[in-house]
Amino acid sequence: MHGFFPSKQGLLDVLTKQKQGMNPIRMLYGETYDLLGITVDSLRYYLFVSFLHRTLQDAGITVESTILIADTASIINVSSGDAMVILEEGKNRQKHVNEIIRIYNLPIKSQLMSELFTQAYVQELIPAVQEVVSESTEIQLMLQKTILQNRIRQEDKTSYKYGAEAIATALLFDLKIGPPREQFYDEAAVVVAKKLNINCYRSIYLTPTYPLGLDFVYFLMHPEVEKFGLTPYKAGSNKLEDNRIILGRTSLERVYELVDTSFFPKQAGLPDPVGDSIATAKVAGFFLGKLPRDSRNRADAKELYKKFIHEPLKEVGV
Amino acid sequence: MKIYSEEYRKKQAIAQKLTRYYRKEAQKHGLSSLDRIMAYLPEERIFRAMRRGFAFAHMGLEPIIECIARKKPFTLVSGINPSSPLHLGHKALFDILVDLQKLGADVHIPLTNDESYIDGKAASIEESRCMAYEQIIPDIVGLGFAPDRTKMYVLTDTPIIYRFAMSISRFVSYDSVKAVFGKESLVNVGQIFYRGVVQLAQILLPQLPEFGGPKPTLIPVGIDQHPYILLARDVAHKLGMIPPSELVVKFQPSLLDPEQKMSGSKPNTAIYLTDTEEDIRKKIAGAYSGAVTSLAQHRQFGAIPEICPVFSLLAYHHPDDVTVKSIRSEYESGSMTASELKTITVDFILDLLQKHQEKRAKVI
Repeated sequence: MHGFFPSKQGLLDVLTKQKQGMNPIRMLYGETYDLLGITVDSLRYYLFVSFLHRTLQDAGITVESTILIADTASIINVSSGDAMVILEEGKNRQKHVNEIIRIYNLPIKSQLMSELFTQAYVQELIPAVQEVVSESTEIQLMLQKTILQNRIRQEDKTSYKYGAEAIATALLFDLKIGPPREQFYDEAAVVVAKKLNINCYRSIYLTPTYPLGLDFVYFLMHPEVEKFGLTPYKAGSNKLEDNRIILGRTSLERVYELVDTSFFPKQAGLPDPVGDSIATAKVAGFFLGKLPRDSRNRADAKELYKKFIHEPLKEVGV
Repeated sequence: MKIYSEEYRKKQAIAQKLTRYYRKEAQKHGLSSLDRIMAYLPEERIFRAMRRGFAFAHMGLEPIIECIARKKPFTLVSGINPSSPLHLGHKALFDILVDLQKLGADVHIPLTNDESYIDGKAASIEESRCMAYEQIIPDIVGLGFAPDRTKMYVLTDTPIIYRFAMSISRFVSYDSVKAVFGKESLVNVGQIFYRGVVQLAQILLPQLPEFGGPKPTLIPVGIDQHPYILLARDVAHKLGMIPPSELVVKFQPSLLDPEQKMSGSKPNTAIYLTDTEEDIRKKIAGAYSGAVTSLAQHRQFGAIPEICPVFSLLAYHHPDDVTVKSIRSEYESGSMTASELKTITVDFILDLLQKHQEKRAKVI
């Protein structure tokens, strides 16, 4: 884990309150996607949400965890022809996520954003959030931090539709899991929630994600990479598509090649893509009922990946 | 608890003052520490000045690191005012250039004899040329640069510099030159032209088409020279060139005062590369010390290597990290005395300069 929003205590307060009440904690991990398939980075989030779900349940807290496949968000700012293909891919993706859930026996469910948006309460909330966002320069400035400089004009044109929908969606839940860059949405969400007089969710940020197969120079050339990571699993992500590991599609040889050519940090606090892949494979092993030994090197990373991710998920997404 | 003597506390205060000074100056000028870069760099690519901490800050060094790692061309520019013979402070800076040249850099060394003349440090242009050709160039050649990747030029014999300076001059206002250099160093029109644009022309020259066009350039400088680099970065933008990167180094301290730098015009503060054995022994014997005068107190408190110009001769010039670390540790703990340190340092510097002078003699 990398951090909490607004704070660790804020999160504990909500959990304590929820434990005393009757309602379950609604936990969310949402992601946009493209046509290339589910990456190992996404699996990392599914596994973490599942692990936290179990931990909270063991502590006597009722939890409902959702992997939200953000199909409607993925088509904002794309051409109408592509939009149809991407929407269709959402259904395929949900099928593959469900296979992953079955294989690892994860205590979570998947849902399409388009389905969520059909609910009456959501249909009321979205325009309300959009109105608050379009009227507030303060919120718009916060949302500008979530996008690249060259996209700001485009977002302005759509009155920050993407950001507003992201906030509205998260406000339907109690706890959101995401990367550190989500803090900009979360800060904006607090202001929106206050204006609408509703409760705002809490967030847990996982440590940033780093692509495999890149040397130290690549990371050095990206300022703030240690704080926010790089997202090879997202659409339009710095041309890092070749560095993705796509479940069920990327060959084992390619994964090994990526591991072998990855930056290996000499001290803590730097990007550690090989270490991340080891951690993901170990949690995957845990859900398969195995407890892998402590590992640190490239050979371990390859072995664990093969055993706990590649082989179990061979058929997923093919 | 140790109760430190007055003398030790004074030395400690100097060390703290120096640390604060460099930290504050770096912050004030918006420079970045080298920590992030050093964390990423593989050990074999961390050069001596970085490893030992006398290169301590930078602006835009990342593209240079990228060039080193990807074996792309880049250039280093470091000018020298040939108004006095080269000393170990100059050598420390040139050693950085040599280390970076081994990592792939082409090196440009302008000898700014025009500057010597306009500042009144040479009686005539001819005298400044003689100094450059007869004294300085043989010393620089003896420092180990790769001849095919080093361009040395005497400014008054290099017309392209003045043509380029003239073409830059439209982009630099007198007010900006005054703001950077201060009125007191712009007394005659030569100084205004030199500081305003000739200096910038030296920095940006490697990016002219005849030198291969725009490419990353690194300028190692002292902290006081940072405003010149800012001016050069600004002009580079205007000319469509790549803004030069900056590596900020702590200058080799004066032998007499750790708060001052070695100066070619003050012979007792510096060891010249042409000094005799007698000069060297005398200068090191008379140098300021990082240790207190009482031997008993030294054994008790130890020395402060950070403010010891004698130790700095080893820190800046000794090639072996393990030896320097071990001497530092013994001196700092008090088990090595100031006199023992001086003996070791004299032997080392004599050997270093004897070898240098032999190489220099072959050039002449």
